[in-house]
Amino acid sequence: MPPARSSGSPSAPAAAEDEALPVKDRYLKYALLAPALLVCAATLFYPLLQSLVYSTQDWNLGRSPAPEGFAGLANYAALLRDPDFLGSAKVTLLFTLPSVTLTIVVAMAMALLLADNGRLQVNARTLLVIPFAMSPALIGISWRFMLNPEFGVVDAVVRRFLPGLSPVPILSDPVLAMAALIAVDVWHWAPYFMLTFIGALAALPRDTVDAAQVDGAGKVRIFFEIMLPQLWPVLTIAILLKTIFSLKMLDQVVTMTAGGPGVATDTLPHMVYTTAFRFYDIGYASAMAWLLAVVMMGLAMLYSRFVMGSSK
Amino acid sequence: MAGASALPAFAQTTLPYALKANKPHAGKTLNVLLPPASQFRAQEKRLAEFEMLSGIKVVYSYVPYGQLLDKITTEAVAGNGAYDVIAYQDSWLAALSGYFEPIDTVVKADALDLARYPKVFSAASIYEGKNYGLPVRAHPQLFFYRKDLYAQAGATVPRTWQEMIASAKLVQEKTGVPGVAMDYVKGSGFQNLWLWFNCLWGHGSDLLDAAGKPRFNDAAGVLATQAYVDVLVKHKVANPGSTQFNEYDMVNSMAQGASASMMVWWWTYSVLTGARSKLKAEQVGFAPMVRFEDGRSPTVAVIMPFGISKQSRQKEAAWEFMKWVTNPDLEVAIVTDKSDPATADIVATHIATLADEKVNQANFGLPAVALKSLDGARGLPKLVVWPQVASVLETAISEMVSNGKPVKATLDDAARQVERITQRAGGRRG
Repeated sequence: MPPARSSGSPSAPAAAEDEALPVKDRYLKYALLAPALLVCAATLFYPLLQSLVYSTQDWNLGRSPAPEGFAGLANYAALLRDPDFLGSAKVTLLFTLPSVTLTIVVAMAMALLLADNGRLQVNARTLLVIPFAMSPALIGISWRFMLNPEFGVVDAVVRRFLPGLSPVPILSDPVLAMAALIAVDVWHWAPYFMLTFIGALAALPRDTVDAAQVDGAGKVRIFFEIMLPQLWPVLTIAILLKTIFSLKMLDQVVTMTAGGPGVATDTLPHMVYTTAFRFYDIGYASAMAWLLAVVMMGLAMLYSRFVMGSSK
Repeated sequence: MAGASALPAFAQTTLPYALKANKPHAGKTLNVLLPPASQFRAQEKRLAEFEMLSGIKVVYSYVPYGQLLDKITTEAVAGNGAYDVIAYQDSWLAALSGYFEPIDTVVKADALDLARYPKVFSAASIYEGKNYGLPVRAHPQLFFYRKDLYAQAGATVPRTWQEMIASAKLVQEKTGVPGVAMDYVKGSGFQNLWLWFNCLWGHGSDLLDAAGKPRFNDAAGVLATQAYVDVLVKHKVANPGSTQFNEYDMVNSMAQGASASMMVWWWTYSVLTGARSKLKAEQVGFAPMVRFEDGRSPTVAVIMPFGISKQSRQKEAAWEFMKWVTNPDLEVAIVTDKSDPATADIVATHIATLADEKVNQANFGLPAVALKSLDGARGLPKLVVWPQVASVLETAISEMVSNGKPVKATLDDAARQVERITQRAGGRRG
């Protein structure tokens, strides 16, 4: 049994405990952690640091199989002057804001509808999880086919009920293509957040809702004034997570629109992907990826803070 | 085993195809990286012949076409020489030339006559004066049309772009089937640029001028691009789905009876007449690719040469294989063998094969028509920054067709982007 921790400074007793342990026990924790640290170092820290190094180098695979020289911050400076990069950042925001908002709203609406444990609700929840269980790349390819103006099911429906509008080349219209991308993203992610919200709703203390009902509050008022404030920590975490997911979304852009029509759906992850793996400009793509990574790391830190905070 | 029957005729000292006698590389194994194609499967079936002649074993490794460039680049960066012979597309050569071995010396030593290929094919593997391969797979453009719909409408098979528009209009009016399928969408390997190049070259413009500056936005380039988008925008003879079609969708549209014609690579004939097509072979007509300038402008060809990897540790053995795999006898044997659908193919690269009567009989006369299409054909530009430039151009086409952006302004903007790309191609050091 471990010795009881004394009160006072938290680090001093811990250090004292360490010193009290036999030498082999003192190093045991590091030995136990070593495999995990090695895996993290090999798969996370090394690639991350290596890409940071690449971002300061001039390296195009079309010119050379190895980095050609130190470029300092030239890649970053070029990025901030690159209208394509700035345009792509704008497209990423245009995608992220509605996709996060709609996913959270739709997921919450579904959670409220399906929170009870009746047979209908349980079956509906099971069915609704299917989109989330599908591979994102497969989702993109499937939707591209479904939105095909000639053979797709969407146009078949339009042709049946609104023949004057058919064919609808949705993915070749800049606004509709972005709307389709957002809709598919919401379709994909809303079930996941629905399950999160159902869990949160189940954890709400029932007496506060009961008390409000006794006081004559309507369902809408109970939701906005009683439930929502209590759900806020979970909502915040969900919004942060979904923002990260939206910022890094690549699969559907590659498989559905390839950033088009024009550059209407050319998000930053897609631009990083094409710059690195189509144009082979590894240095420039690494700089781009790092700018995106910094934003994501900020969000991840906020997320961690909220998760740690709410678990205390 | 296919191809083995001819072997006893080969004497060891006078081997065919300039192969070295006495099997100096016997026991070696060559690895070949290439995309899946029935032509390559057919070669694979006949590898025993090469092994018997040279003692060299060859292993084919297939990588889907969409991932081939990534795979070549990854292998080049890894630098482990895992592949000895690699298939690549002509437009990739400028970026990949550093990873391939020039073969000019061995071509000369073995007196290999490159005049056996159409000029556009033999030029495909030449970059900055050096030859980096031999053509093995190549595609000329053809004009495909619905014979039944053209007959019903009383339309004539077009020779020029202008005639194509007129015929498409007539067929569309008389039959209700969209006159032509186009592939304007971006993001499918720059497919929306091939027909644009027909228009561009047909109007006397080009991608870049002699100084390497963008030229496609000059007056002729604007007219050419306008002609390209007008098929849909002004003449309204393109299938309305064309804004969202890639090449696969375009071919499928015609195969499903939803478009009356299209301009595309010759290999699609097998799709149009295949088991999954709604069309019968007698409904599918083909003609040489339509041209501008009363039928004199260049058409486009895409070529896939085989090259020897610079990192190969068996370059001499690889050259022996190159000589065998590009021999015209093997090509004729493959294109006339229709016994197995998995290895039946129409693709040939030698002038003699394309003109061969027996080959044409076995392939519906397609090779002879293809040869006409190849007259004066040009390959895609070879630029180190081709992927970036092509990406800008495919986006510009997409914006003009889908977003209704004006041609001149869009091309000017694209030209500025291309200029930036070519300027920074030298790197960002210093």
